[in-house]
Formats: sequence, C-alpha cells, structure tokens
Amino acid sequence: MRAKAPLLLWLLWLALCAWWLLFRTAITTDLTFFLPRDAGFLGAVLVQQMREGPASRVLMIALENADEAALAATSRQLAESLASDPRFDRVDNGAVGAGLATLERRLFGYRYVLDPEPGPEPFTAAALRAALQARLAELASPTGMLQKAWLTRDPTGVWQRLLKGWLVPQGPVSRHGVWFARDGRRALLLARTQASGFDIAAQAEALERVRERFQTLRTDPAMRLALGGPGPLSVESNRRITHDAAVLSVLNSGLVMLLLFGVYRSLRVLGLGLVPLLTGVVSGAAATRWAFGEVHGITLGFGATLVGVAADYPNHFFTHLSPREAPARAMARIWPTLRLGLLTNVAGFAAMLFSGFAGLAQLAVFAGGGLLAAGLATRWVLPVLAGKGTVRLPAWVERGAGFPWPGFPRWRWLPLGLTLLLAAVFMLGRAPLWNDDIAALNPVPAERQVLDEALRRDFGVPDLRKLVLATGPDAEAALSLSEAVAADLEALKRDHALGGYELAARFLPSRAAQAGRLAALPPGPELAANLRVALRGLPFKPDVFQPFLDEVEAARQQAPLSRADLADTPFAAQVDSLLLPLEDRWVALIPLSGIADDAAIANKLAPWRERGVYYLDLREESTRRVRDYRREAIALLAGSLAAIVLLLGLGLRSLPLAMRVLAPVLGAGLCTGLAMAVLFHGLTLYHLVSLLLVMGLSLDQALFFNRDAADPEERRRTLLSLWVCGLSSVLAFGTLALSDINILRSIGSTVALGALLAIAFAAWLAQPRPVPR
Amino acid sequence: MIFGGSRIKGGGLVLLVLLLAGVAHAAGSPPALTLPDLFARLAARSHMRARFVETKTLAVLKTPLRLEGTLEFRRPAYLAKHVEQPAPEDYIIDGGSVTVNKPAEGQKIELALADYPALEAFAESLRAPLAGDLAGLSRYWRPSLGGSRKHWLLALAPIRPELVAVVRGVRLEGEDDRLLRMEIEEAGGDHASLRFEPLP
Repeated sequence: MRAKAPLLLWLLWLALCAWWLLFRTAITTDLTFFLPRDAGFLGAVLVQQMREGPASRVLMIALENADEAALAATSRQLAESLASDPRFDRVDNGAVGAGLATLERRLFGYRYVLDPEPGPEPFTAAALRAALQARLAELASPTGMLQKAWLTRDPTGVWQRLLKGWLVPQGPVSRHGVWFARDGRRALLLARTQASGFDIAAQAEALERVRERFQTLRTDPAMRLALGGPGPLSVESNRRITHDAAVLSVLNSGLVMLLLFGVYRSLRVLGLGLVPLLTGVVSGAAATRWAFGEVHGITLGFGATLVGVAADYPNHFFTHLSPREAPARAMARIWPTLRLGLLTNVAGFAAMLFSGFAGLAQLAVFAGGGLLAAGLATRWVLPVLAGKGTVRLPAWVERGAGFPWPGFPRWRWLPLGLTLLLAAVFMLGRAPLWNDDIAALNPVPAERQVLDEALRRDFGVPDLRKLVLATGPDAEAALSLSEAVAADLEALKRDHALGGYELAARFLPSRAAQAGRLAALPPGPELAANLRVALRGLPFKPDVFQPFLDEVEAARQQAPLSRADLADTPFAAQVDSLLLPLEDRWVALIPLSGIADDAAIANKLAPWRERGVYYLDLREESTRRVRDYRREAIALLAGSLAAIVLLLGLGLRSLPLAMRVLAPVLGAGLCTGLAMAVLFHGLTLYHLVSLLLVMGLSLDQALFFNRDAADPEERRRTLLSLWVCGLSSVLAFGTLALSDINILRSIGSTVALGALLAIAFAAWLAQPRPVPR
Repeated sequence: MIFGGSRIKGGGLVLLVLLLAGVAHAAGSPPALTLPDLFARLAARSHMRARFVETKTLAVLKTPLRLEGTLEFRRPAYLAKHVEQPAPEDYIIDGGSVTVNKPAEGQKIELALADYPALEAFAESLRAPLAGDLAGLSRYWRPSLGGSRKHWLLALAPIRPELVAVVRGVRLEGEDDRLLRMEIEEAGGDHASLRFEPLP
C-alpha cells in the first residue's frame, strides 16, 4: 500500500486538474494578449486598434459566379438580413435608398452645422442667385423630382452636398443599385463585426452566420461567396493550423510510436511513456490557470511543445531498466542526472516570468510547472507503474547500442567547425539575424493573402496602416484638434500627397465648429433681403422660399448636434470607432488612405506634435513592438542561461564540467539558430521559442553523455537512451517541418535540426565523468 | 307648344337612342382596342425616335419651363432623353442604371434605378408601353385604356403608396403604334406635358 501511495496521489492530482481545466477554465484566443502589458500611450493605441479598431472588424463579402442581376438581388437580401443581426454593427452594399430616410429624419435639420464647406459667404445675394439658378436647372431635369422635395427648404443645396460627400463610395462601382467590383464580376458588401477581428470564436460565429444566410438567400446555386478581412484570415489560419497540427501530430505520433515499439516491443511501455508528458501538459495548464485566471490558446500550444522535453524522461528510464534489478533502483540511479536536467530547464523558464509580455510569462509558468510535474511523475509514478521486468530490449537494439558513436572521438573538432562554417555562410549571405516584421509571424498562407488583397483592391478599402491621432483631455478637445489638423490634411489632398482621410468631425463637428457655422447664418431680415435681390429676374414665385427663411432662423436657435442625435444612423458606429477614450485621454483617429508622399505628410504634421497630434504608422509601430518583444526575450534568455550555468555548476560541483555539458548545448543552439536565420531569412519569435526547446532537450542529453557509467553495459544503455530520445525528437518535429504554415514549419525545422545537432554534438564532445549520486 | 315641345323632346330622345345604338354598333364592328392588343402592337416596333417639346408648369415658378430635344427608345430596355434646349443634357436609362450627362457642367453621374423607386416608376411609365411590357408597367401603375385603335389614350394611376404621394397620374396619347403626347400630373399640382413628333 505504501508503495502505491504516489500512484493514488498522482491520479487524484490529475483528476483535480482535469476537472478544473474542463469546467472552470476559459481558453482565450485573443491574439493581442501577446502584446506588451504596459507599452505607453502609442502602444495602447496600437493594441486598441488591433483589438477593436475599425480595421480589425472589417469583413469584406464578395458574391461571384452568377449574372449581375442575380448577384445584385442576393446582395440586397443578404445586406438586409445581416443588418438586423446583432453580430454586425454595420452592413453596407452601396444601396443608398434604405438609409436615406433615416438620415433625412435625423440630420436634415442639422445641415448647416454639418456642412464643412459652405463656401465663402453662401448667403449673399450673388451666391443665393447662383444656387437658385442651379436649382432651376435641376427642376428641368427628369431627375428633378428627387430634389424637388427639398427645394423650398434648402435652396442652397446644402443637404444634397452633404449626401454626396457621405454616400459616394470610392472603390466599388454601382450596378443594379449595389456595389460591384470594377470588372463587374463580384457584388461587394462591406460589414463590420461587433467582435474584434482577433476574437476567433466570435469571428467564426459571425462568418458562419454570413455563410448560412448566403446559402439560404442565393438565387443561383452556382453563386459563390468569398470572405476577406482580418476576421476571416484569423479564423482561416486558426483552422489551418489546427488541421495541420492535428494531421501532422497523428503522423508524427505514429512514427514515434513505431520507433518506440521497435525498441521496447511492448504497448504497455508505450502507454507508460505518455505518463510524464500527459501529467506535464495538464499540470502546466492548471498552473497557468492558477497564476493568470485563464489559459491562452497559444500558451497551450507552445507550452505543450515545450513540455515535450518530458517525452524523453521515460526513455531514459526504460533504457536503463534491467531484468536484474527493481525499476525503483534503476530510477534511483539515473534520477540525479534527470533531476539536474529538469531543474536547469525549469530555471531557464523562470527567467521568462519577469517578462513584460503577458504571453511570455504565461508560457514560462506553463512550461516550468509542466516540466516540474512531469519530472515528479517520472520519478515517483513511473517506477510503480512499470513493475518488474517490464522492458526487455531486443537483442539487435542491445547490439546496436553497443557500437561506439560514429566518429567519436576523432571528430571532436566537428561541432566547432560546423559552427564556424555556418557563421561564415550567414555572414556572406545577406540574411538578417532577426526578422521583426509582424507579417513574418502571420500564419496565413500566401495564396489566402492574395485573395484578401484582391478584395481590398475591389473595395478600395484603405489599409489603415497610417493614422493621425488628435488627442485631448476630453472628447470636445480631441474633436476640435482633429478639425484643425484636417485643414492641413485638406491641403495635402489638394497637392495630391494624400488620397483621403476619415474624420469623426465629419459626422459630429465640435461644439466650436458648430457654433462657428451657425454664426455664419445671417439674421432673418438680412437673409430675406438678400433672397429678394437674388430672385430678381428668376422665374420663381416670390414667397415660395419662406420655409428656407424659417428653417435658417430655427437652425440659429437650435441646440448643438450631439452624439445622441446620430442614433440609428450609420454614422453612430463611425463616430464611435473614430472618437474614443483611451487611458486618461480622448483620441480622434484620422485614418489616412492613398498616401502618395509620406514625407510631405510627416513634414506637415511634425509641428502639430506638441499640441498632441501624432502621426502613427501601425505597421512600423507593430514592428517596433515585435523587436522590443524579441529583445526582451533575448535578455531573458541570457538571464536563464546564467541561471542554468549556476545551477549546473552547483549540481555538478565543477565549473569546467558544467562548461563541458553546456558546450554542445550552446553549439547546437548556435548552429541551429544560424541555419534557421539563413533558411528563413531572419529569425522570428517562433524560432526563438523553438530554440528554448532545443536547449532543454540537448541539456538533458549532454548531462547523460557526461555522466559516468558504472560499467560498459550502463554506458551502452545511456547511449541507447540518447539514440531513442534524439531520434524521436527528430521524427516528431521533422514532420511538423513539412507543413506549409510558417509557424509549424519554423518550429518543426528548428527543433528537428536542433535535436539532431544536440545529440551529435553531445556525443562528439562527451567526456564521461562521475556525476553526484 | 307644350305638346310640340314634348314631341320634339321625345323625338330627340329616340334619335339619341338610335344614334347611340348606331355608335355602339359602329364601335362594335371593328373589335374594341384592348390593353394586350395595344401593347402587342407597340411591342412590334423595335425602336422609336422622336423630337419632343416639354412644358413643365411648376407651383414654385411664375412661368412654365420649356425643354426641347429628342427621345430615343431601343428594345429591350434602352431609353434616352437628349435635351438640347435650354442646355444640352442626356439622360440614358439602360437596364437598371441611369446615366446623367451634363456636358455644360462637366458632370457624368451613374445612378441605380432600384435606389430611386419614384424615378423607376416614371421611367417605366414611358419605357414599358414603348417596349410593349404590360407586366412591367403593372408593377407600378394601374392602366386604363380609352379612345379608338386609331387614336388611343392610356391613363396610368399609381399603385404604390410612396408613388401616390408624388404623382396623381400619367396620360399617354397615341395614334396606331406611335406615341404622340405624354402628360404627368404631380401630387403638388405640378404638371408636365410632352409632345412627340416621330423621326424616321
């Protein structure tokens, strides 16, 4: 019974963790979680934009492969159906008819405060006369009846001008009353999801809704749906990664199982081999949940990968089992080495706890906690489960393991030689050491990005890379500052340096601007006199414009337009996405599009900086973030290295021995890093995480290689265990390298190469010495 | 006098009845013009070109507006109004789109008919008869036919509520398969009248 106590404890622990994780833990998928926790104001803008910004929530919907009329009809029905869905806060397909009535009901009375370009002196007799002549021409036209409704109330045509400014789309053309791509092959709808583009679960739900509505509404069964934007891209990449990871895991587990079965000839042993890994992953997740209150999906994936080091533990144990002794004794023999390897690994991850990036800290807790639990399970549970005589290695394995490592010890120079060679190749090549472009981390395959770009072109959607931020202590201040900057942007537009920009103040002018515009309205008697003069010689009857005189007078007395007045117009969402509180300030965002002369824009905006206007390149900013992230990761890596050296020195009670253990580890890490930098044109964060795993794996192996063996058989068993561990790592991660998804390929090839080099370097550099027992 | 008067009166009545019977008989002998009949005849023409003179009498104006130009129709759905006076302007409806071209202002606008139901209804009031498309016409208007085969009169009353708010009715007059006049009576009392003179 006493012997079974660890087993019971272990089962209880697993059950507890599993229950907690299954029923009490949220797996989050928000990618912005991996951005820094505290990155200052501009960082907050970046995170906010990535998370909630209009760019992140844009959903581009294209209908294709049917005739124009059918596409247009389906576009109308789909837009109507989605507009009433709470998952979307805006659906636009270019059909202006529907929203027009709402706009008119809400905003017609505010036309004078909304009009950004009344022109000079719009109410002089001459200006009024010109306006009246224009109206007369409209009356003569067959479309005149459309404008006639407004004629007597708005003879200066302010409302028409506002509508034109609001409703004319830039990219798509209108056919059959809805947006089409310029080549006429795709009907286009632009939706904005309620959820962030990086909230994968919510996005998947919204996309499913669009697909389902499309299936029901399409009139032609051949009609196809294409979806683009950050949401579909994240959902798609999530799906592809999950799919590839699942398929390749089945493949690589199969291969590793085959290898292990060839060595151990026992399904029971294969099953036992999973014990530490399983314990590690479950405990790691539970530790993360305990420390952070949630587990991020990426932490789960990367963390499970890092805990993969524990897959080697049972192999060390099984290969050292002998029919002549109890399993517990074999474990006792290898435990000191295993323990040292485990502790150094955990110490390595501990450094990451101090990261300012929540993602790295979670990863550290996951991997550190997981490995610790895996180690304990190996030490206390595995021997109990193993029983006596579990493993009887086949004769050919024993014989094979008896051969000395090829080239040992003649090829001692090879690790150094290879490192120098790779360094030379790297220096001669033009590849940078680091690739900090956030696009390199984008797991979306290239052909999917091509479709997205094509849709982007069809829509004429600004890529929202460049933003101007006008900040102020309150919303009013931010708004009026943005209006002031807009005057300069307007000048840049005239000079063709800039294509266009969005502005919250276009729909909600600042109080000051509103007051200014109202002040330009002449008092009743003056306006009436001017109108009389203007009407002279024109065929209009004298009194028909009384409503105009009345409404101008009413506008002069009116309360200013506020955010509440925009309710249920399409502008409410626009204003909310462009004017928002951030930290202790308010920000008016001005996304720029069609940038032709970046330097001119930067120059023009530079003097504004001291007034709280920032010109931000989201792409550059995110690259800077990634660089910061990577630099911090490296600094922490150096910290963990110091911790590892210290621990090794203490554990081995000899600094030279510690250095000898570390030499192959560092050599393998360096060579793998250089090779990956050349192959992938710079290392990304994926490589960095993978290198951590390589270090962990190779540290164990180097420790075992440098372990003194009691007899030749022990030596043979050690060699065998390293063969098994090394080969299974290469098989497991080599298959991941086959994926065409960059994240899996980076991790797979780095770890596979690293594991191979680690075992070879460790073998070549090994100098068996006694290890403390 | 009284009797005489009454006799004359009675005789007049008899005469009137006889006359009416005669008219009825005369109208009955060639079969009366029906809507499908008229539309079938109109549909037989593949295109139509005419000069037009349009007079618009508007409540807000002291004097009517006068426009001149040509109207052109081609099957199945092309209708163009080229205004020459007072200023050159083109309005071309083709399928579901409207192109407005104002060379004087350097303006060219493309609209979708579907976005402007009122505009579409007006376009159909002219285009559907020219195309012989009775079904298309009946989507917006309730047609009633009067007159003779030689000289017919087609009155259109709006069906849709949003249209009723804008227009009282449209009247089209023609001879055989040619359109001669169009009258539009708007709800506010505004009134437009077009006369067509067929061109080869």
